[in-house]
Order: sequence, then structure tokens, then C-alpha cells
Amino acid sequence: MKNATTTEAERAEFRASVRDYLSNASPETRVRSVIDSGTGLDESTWKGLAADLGIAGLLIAEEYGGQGMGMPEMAVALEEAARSLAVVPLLASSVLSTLAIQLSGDEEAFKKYLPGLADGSEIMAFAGLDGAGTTTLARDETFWGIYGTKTAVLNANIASRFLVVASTPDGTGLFIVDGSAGGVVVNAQDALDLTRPTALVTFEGSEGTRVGGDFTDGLKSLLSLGRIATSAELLGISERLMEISVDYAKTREQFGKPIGAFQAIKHRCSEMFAHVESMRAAVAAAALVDPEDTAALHEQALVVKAYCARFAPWIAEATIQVHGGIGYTWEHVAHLYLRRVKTDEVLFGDALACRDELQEILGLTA
Amino acid sequence: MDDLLAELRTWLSDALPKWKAKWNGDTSWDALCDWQRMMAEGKWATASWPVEYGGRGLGTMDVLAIEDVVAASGAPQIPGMIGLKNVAPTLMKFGNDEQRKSVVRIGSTDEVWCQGFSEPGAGSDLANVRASGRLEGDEFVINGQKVWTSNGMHASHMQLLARTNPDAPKHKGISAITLSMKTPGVEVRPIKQINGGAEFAEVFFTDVRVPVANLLGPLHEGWMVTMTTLGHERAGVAVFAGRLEQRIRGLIEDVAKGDTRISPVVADELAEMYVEARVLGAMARQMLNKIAQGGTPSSEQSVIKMVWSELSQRVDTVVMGLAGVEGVTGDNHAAALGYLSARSATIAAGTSDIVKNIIGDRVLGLPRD
Repeated sequence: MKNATTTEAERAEFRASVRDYLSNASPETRVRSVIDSGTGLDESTWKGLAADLGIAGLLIAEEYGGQGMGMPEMAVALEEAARSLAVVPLLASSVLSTLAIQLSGDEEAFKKYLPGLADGSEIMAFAGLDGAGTTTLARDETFWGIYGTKTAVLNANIASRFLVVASTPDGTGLFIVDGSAGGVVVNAQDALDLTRPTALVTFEGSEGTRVGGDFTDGLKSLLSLGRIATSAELLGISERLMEISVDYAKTREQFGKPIGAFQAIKHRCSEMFAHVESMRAAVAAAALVDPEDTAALHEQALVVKAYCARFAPWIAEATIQVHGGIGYTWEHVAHLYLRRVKTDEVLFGDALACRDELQEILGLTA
Repeated sequence: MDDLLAELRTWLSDALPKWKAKWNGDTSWDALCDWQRMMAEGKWATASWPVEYGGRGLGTMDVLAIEDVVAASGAPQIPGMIGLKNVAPTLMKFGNDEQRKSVVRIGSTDEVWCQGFSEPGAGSDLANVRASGRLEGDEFVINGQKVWTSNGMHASHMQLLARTNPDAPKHKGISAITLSMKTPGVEVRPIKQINGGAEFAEVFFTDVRVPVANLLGPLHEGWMVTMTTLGHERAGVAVFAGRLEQRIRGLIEDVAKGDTRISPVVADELAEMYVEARVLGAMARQMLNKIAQGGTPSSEQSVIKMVWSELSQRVDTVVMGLAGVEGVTGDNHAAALGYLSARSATIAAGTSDIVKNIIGDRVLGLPRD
């Protein structure tokens, strides 16, 4: 993955083309029908994004079939995909799994797995978070045997392979486990986010292929990039929610005038705008950090996630408040966004967790 | 730009010790004016002005770089900022031959200018100016009251907003008029602030007569003339934001180095402020980049002002909290002074409440009340 390879104007053009595509391919009606189908994947939209727009391979080098871009470009794609609520595994497969493989530094794995990820023909899921109170282990038997339980595994139900972080006798390791391997059990969870299913994935001595060597530093960078990626999603959604709220405040009349004329509503909308602009500046700054500069990446990622995870939920809640009763209905889109926001909020650490880590960096912990 | 800053550093290393030796710790108004005089002679205080007015004709980014170097050198604040940044550019743009003669004297502090804008009934609602400037023959007859006039006690001249057509809609009937503060009928009284200082004045006008030649810009177009004036300092808010980020970094470093144990709640409060400071700083840098690339910032100014106001107020609240009982006993005077002074952050140059209205009305296009 490279640092910014495009100019701001080129990214604006890219954004317009992604937005244009998604507004046709994945309107709210489409999102709702995919949710109701229970498949957890909008196949045609995923194909369009991956194959036609090349988004699945944005972070992958051209020699492996990708676009050779970096986080500034992927942030744009994540913002736009999140604002459309498209039911696609962009974060799980094209960001987290793709980056995990790249951060392992294992060139054999690059050749074997990146081309399939780049064109979207293969979907992988990142299994990083251990179930409460457990540690996933990798035992060096005749092969690497993976033992453990991973929770909140995004898009596990449609993944052909899992990227699993496990503890080995010589430190943290990254493993690829085939979805069809023995001892892999995928149990769908009752995910809050209706557009992105999660699962509890159990590995009972499943055979894993080790990718790269010690993954301690790789995991740290991956978590940072995950914080930036979820922040980009939170920004895209927040901007959309602000637009929806402002539009409603202009048209909904009570007491003989549009409710946006009342300062209580107007100020709420202005505060939304200020937070969206702040999030935009923060995501842009974080996405532009050189990923090789791991200390700067770590710190900037904590800053941006601490901000976005604090204010995106506020904006989603405020959207429902501005809408009043209609905002509390299943039919209104607000809850679909709120569910997505609450999920992105906790992935890779919520605001409090990020501030905890920042306190350490700042020397504020006793 | 590097050559320019090197020249500035050389100049400062000569001028600043000379000024310090002359005034020996004195930071009175006269001492500060003397420093401004030196800064203007060196064409540093007036760097943004065109060459024919004794400036260097530099753009925003160069001027900001100069100000950063000057601030880092430990030089004192320039006292006549309002004249240099707001009044002089307006005189250059709208003034007649006589009025434009003041520009050079503003640089040297031979003239100190204030702006007579706010009134008891025209604060946030500035267009509600009531002070009247009745046209009588070839004179304006001025009656009324101005309030919150910065530098009012030191000023030799004023750029005044007065209502010259009481029958026109409120933005239309205002004119900008220049006058000497020594004109008969002008009375100046200091306003003592909650922090004990008196940086502002009230100015009373009783049948003050000034010639029609003192009209600045077109008759009844004072609102347009004034908005141009206020627009001159568009980068200022981004500079404030950058300084606030530095201040919060500094505060956290001091706390981290200090011996005082802080509670987890205070540590989290500091981390939260750090996050907001970093985000505000990013926003300010992006706005300055936009200016550097020839763009015109629009809504960024209002957003940065709103976020800056509330965050800077919060810092002083936290500093006051860290001071504990010493904040109220006079043992930590600085914390108390900072806390009291910070009340103005969400009031001056448009209260936060009004800024939120402006964002709602002008940026988001929400219906006006």
C-alpha cells in the first residue's frame, strides 16, 4: 500500500463516480430487499464496485491485479459505500483482510491471495477479536492447528477464507484458514447492523497456513488502519445524516413554520455541520499519514477514532431527535445508519478506549 | 520566503534588544507603541500593505510566517492591531486623499484608530446601529453611544458607523464616517471587565459635528464598507486555532512532567481536549492550505470560530480546576485570570449562539426565524 498517489481533485472525481454508481445500484429500496433476503451480500453491487470500479483492489499493488492506491483513496470509497449502506464486504475483505496479508510481508501469500481479493472474486473475513476471556492459540502440530473463538467477525457468512490472529509459542501470528477446513464453525450473531452480518467463528484444531513471521507490529498497524477505515465510514454516514436532518428541518412544518426556523433545531443542525467538518479534516489528516511511520500512524488513528466514535453516534441520535416520531419508525432510514454507526463505534476501540491509549502516549497515566 | 524570514530574524536580533534596553521591562502603552514604530519602520508590522504605503505587498501565508517568527522571538504584542489590520486596509480601499494620509501614521502609531461599531442595542445584531449621523449642510451631526470599543481609551481617531438614513431598511441606511476623538462632543469612558482589565471603552456623542468629507466610502453604504473591513482578517481564526492546539499540547506536557497526581477523570478530560485540539488544528491547517493555493475559505471560518471558542473556554476551565483551591485564593492568579478572561471567547466577534445561526442560515440554508 502506498501513501497518497492522487491529488485532491482526482479524489473528488473518484468520489463523484462512486456516488453516482451507488445511488443507482444501491438505493435504500435495494438495501432493504437485500437485508430481507438474509444473504448479507448484494452480489451485483459488489461485482460492480469490485470489477467495474476497481474498488476491491484499491489497496493492492498493480502487479497483483490491484490499483496501487492508498488510504486517502480507500477512505473516499469507504465514506461513499457507508453513506449508501450498500451490503458489501468492503471493510472486511478489501481493507482488513487485504491489509493483514500485506502487513505480513509474505510475498508467497501476496501472489496466492491478493489477485482474488483485488477483483472481488474472493471474499475473506478478518477474525481478529477473541471471544470474551479467551485467547486463540496456534499449535505447531503436523500442521498449524488453530484453537479458539473469534467474535464480531464481519461478513463471516460469505467468506471463503479467514485471516486469523492467534498466539503461537513464539509470539503473535497471522494465519489463513479455509472456510471449509475441519473444525471451522460459523454461528451467525444477532448483529445490530442489518447491513453487515457478524458471526461467532470457532476453530477446533482447524488447519491454518501461517502468513509471514511475527505479526505483533503488523497487528498494531492493522488496528490503526482499521481505526482510520471505520472513521471514514462514520464520516460518510454522518455527512448523509446531516443532509437528511437539514432537508427535513426545511420542509417539516409545525406551529405554522418549518421546524428549521426554530433555533433549537437550527443549532442542532449547525453543531452537526461543525462535527462533520471536523471529522472530514481529521479523516483526511489520518489517511495522509505515511503508513510506514508506525508511531505517527498509531497516534493519528487514535485521534481520529476518538473523535469520530464520539460524535458520529451523537449525530445519529440527533438525527432521530430532529425527525421526532417518524425517526423512531422502522420505515425511516435513520435506524439503519444508527445501527451501522454503533457497530463502527466499537470496532477497534470506542472513543474511551482510544483516549485510554492516548493517555499512555501523552504520559498522563500514573 | 526563507530569505525573507532570515532577514526578519537578523532584524529582530538587532531591534529587539535595543527596544528592551530602552524600556527596561516597561510594557506600558507608550513602550508598546515604540515597538510598533520600529516594526513599521522595518516594514514588518506593515508587511501585508502595498509598497506605496510602506508595506511589502505580501500575501496571507507570508504574513502568517512573519507573525510566527515574531511571536517566537518573544517580542511584545503590537498595540495598534485594529488600525493595522482593519482600519488601514479600509482607508486604502475607500478613503479619499485626505483619509488615506492616515495610513502611514497608523503604522507609526502617530495615529491610533478604534472602530465605533457595537452599541448597547447593536451587539450581535450589529446592523441595528442607532447612533445617528444627520446630514446638515456640509456636516454630519452625530449623536448616540458606542460600546465595547477596543483601544477606545488610547485612540486618536475612530472609524464610526452611524445611521444616516433612518427611513431605509436596517442594513441600507448606515454610513462609515472617520473622525478625531478630540472633536468637541466626544466623551470616552473606560469599561472595566470581569477580569479587572479595561481594554474597551464606551464612547458618547453629543451633537458632534464633522465635515461631509469625513464620509468613508459611499453615503448609506457603511455596512458594505464595514463588512469589507471585517473580511480582511479571514486567516486570523485559523491562526488562533493553531495556537490553541499548541497551548493544549503544552498544558498536557506540563501536567505529564509535574509531580501532581491527577485523577483518571482529569486524565481523560485532558485526552479529550487533546483529541479536539488535534482535530481543530487539522481543520485550521487545511483552511490555510486552501488560502495558500489561492482558494477562498467560506464556511470553515465560522466552524473554526465556533469550535475554537468553546475549546479555548474549556481549557481555561480545566486549568482553573487543576489549580484547585489556589485558583480562588489568589495564589494562582494566572489560572483565575485566564478563567475569567475566557468568558469572552464565546462572546467576542459574534457570540457562539449567533455563529450557530449564521451556519444554519447561510451554510445549511435553513429558514430564518
